[in-house]
Amino acid sequence: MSSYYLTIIGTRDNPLYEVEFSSFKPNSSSTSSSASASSIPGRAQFAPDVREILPFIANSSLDIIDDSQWSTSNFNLGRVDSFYGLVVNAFITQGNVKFVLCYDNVGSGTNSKYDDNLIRQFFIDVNDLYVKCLLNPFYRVNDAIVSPEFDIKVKLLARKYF
Amino acid sequence: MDYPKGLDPYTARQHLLHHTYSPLISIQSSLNSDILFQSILNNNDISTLQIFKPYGNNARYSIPNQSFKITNSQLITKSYPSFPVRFEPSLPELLSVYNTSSSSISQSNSSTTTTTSTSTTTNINNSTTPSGGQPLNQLFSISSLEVLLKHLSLTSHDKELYLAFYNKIITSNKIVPFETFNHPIAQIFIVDFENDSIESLRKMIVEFRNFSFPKFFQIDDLLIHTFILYDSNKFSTNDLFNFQNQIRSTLNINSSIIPIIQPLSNDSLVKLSIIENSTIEEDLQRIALQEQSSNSIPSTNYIQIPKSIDSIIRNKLFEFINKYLIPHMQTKIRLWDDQRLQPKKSITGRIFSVSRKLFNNNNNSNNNNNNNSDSNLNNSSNSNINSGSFNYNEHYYHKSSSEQIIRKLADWSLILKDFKYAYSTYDLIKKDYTNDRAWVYVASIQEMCIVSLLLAQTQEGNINTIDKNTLRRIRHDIIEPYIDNLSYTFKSRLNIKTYSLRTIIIIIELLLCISTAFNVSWFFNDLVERYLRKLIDEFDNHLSSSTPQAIRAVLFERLGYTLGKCTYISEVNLHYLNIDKFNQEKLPKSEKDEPENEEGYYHNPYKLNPTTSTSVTGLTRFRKSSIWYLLSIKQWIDLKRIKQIQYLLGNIRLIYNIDSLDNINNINNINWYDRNDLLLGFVKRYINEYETTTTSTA
Repeated sequence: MSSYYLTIIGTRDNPLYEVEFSSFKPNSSSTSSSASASSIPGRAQFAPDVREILPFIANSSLDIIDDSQWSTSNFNLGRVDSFYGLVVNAFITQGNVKFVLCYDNVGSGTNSKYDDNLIRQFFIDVNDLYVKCLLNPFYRVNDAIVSPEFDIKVKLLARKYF
Repeated sequence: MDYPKGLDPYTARQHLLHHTYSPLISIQSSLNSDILFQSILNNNDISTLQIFKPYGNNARYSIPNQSFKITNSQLITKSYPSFPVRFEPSLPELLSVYNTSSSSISQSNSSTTTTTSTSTTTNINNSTTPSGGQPLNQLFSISSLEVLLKHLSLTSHDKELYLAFYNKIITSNKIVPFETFNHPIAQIFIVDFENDSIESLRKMIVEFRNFSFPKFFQIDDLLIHTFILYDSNKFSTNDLFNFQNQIRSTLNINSSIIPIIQPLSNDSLVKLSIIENSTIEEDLQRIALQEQSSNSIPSTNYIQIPKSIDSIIRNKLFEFINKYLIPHMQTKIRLWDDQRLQPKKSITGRIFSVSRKLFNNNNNSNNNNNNNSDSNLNNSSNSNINSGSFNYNEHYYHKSSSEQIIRKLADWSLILKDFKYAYSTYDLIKKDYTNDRAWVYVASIQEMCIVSLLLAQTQEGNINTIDKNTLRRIRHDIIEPYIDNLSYTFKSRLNIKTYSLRTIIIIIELLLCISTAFNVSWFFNDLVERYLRKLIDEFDNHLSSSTPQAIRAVLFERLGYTLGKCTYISEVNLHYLNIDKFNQEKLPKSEKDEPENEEGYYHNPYKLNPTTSTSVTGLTRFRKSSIWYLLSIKQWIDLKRIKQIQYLLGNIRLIYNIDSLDNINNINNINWYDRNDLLLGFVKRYINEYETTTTSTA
């Protein structure tokens, strides 16, 4: 089961929102194994030493995102970086807010193109949610997104796509 | 703009030329000369070699206005402010150390294979060759390096630590057939005029000459010289001249006289480092001895020598290098160029080499067949008869073969800083080695091709700009394929991966050099990163990856440095990169220029203002560099090296605020990276704790 870490990063490189989750789909290779029994569906399986640097990995990929945003007209930047087996996909909004998704490729038997398409769709839906959040008159750009509604909706999207 | 701080690649390049590509001079001193120095220095544990060794680094221990004149193959004379040499024990001694270690290894090898034949654990010292011949030994032991680096990190920090690591990897006095940098160029006999006679000197030389040297080493190329120590108060120079003439007439060797005066009591002392140019094993041995004797005598890494003797030795060595060593090398190079290289380059030589190639291929297949049928004895006798071809059993070319001599020619011209000529020679001889399937020679020559090419490009005075096509050719046609090839040869074919580790680290530094010299870091950045990560993986494979490692920490640090120095900004726009104001928010215009509350104007306090670094957005890699520094800091935290951590924290100050250690416990006013579940927060809390405990104990 792949684990995912999604963060929304503001224009000052400050994280606005972050969530960790794992693939909800049962892994074909480990359906009957004991590993699936110990893991709760949806809970990320990052090792402790990876978890403590996840936001830094996302932050470091901003260098590449800043660079690659000029070379494409799409908001979805696709796979921008990789760090010790963790792949980083990114999406940039019109307001220069970045969505960064770091995930480990362990156990994903599907091809990467399929993955990238899913991630693109996921990013687009998260962007919809983010725009709705921006419409809130009490929300300022670069403020942390603390709305539980937003959180639940993102998690539902994660469940839908991964 | 010195951010991030780290070892300047040009310093690394200079150290490379000092410690690896410098002439090796072996010294053999008579017992009486040792006693003479011991009595002067009041130190019974010192040898003449130990005193001379530091002076090899004549960049550090120089004389006023020194300059070394070297004429290159184009007959252009250039002078250099320094020309370091390495002093080592005499060849028989060096070889005996090498042979004992290799025999003990082969013994342990055989014992492990007989007793635990099923064991799959790979010991780095146990190297075997697939062909079943004599094993080649590793360049250094990775575990020893790790132990040494952990020890060094107690005393040295900052960029010195990476430099120490780098120096230890590139410093070696191991004699191997396939590269001649560690083959002595000169042999100096040191005698004491008062107590040694010409007969004893003759005996020393005869004993030396009678030693059975390895078949790949040509003793005729060795410059033999004598240093005569004498007390200038007791003897006149006339006596010495007579003695010198006598030596010249009977033994046919040149000599230099070194007057040693008994120092006055008020003579000032000069500190000499005795760890100059020491290898990993020597360092570990010294540390172990120091730890043993720490209770009785406090030992240091320095010796003190009277100023008068110090300046005499400096002057005499300068004279020796300028008058004997450099001319000797130049003459030999010219001779080999005429006799071996030019015929090879000529049309007839080429035709001959084509025919020989066909002939040699047959020979090779015969040899291989022999190998396959396990008749090694037969095979080795075959190769010994045909002195020109490669000995597959012991991996060498005979000393008189063109292949060995041309390799030496290229190595010596590299030592004399004629990098372009060296490159063309390496490139020429490479084909012969490939035809002979002398893999170890091929790998070594590929290494030297890259090194000489990069050294030539980064040579001072080489002010030509570099165009994209040249860069592309250097990278895609030379560096990348050669590195892949030589890594495969060293690692898989011959099981001596430490050689490939050394090559990679040298090439990383030279690539960083070329990146800074021509501002092309954007072009080589990913290659350097890839090689550094490859190095980390290789070291991790050998050492336990779960425990903290000093080697991994310094390599992470270098990765951070590489990315921190990488810019995608062209030279004309470099001034936009202002480190002091990087990432600061620009003040809104309305606040600066216009008075507040002016009629008709509305100031929006929520408006986002651009940062000062907008013009270089996406053209730097500071954030990527910071994560590597953080990973390095993590290793040092586990090893509890607080000074190194504080130094490395300075290299991430542009991205993360590292000054506010006080408010990390204030939850409302905390930066995202200071959270206690994240690495940087953990680091800051660790330092805070350390500082409070040290102040409370003080």
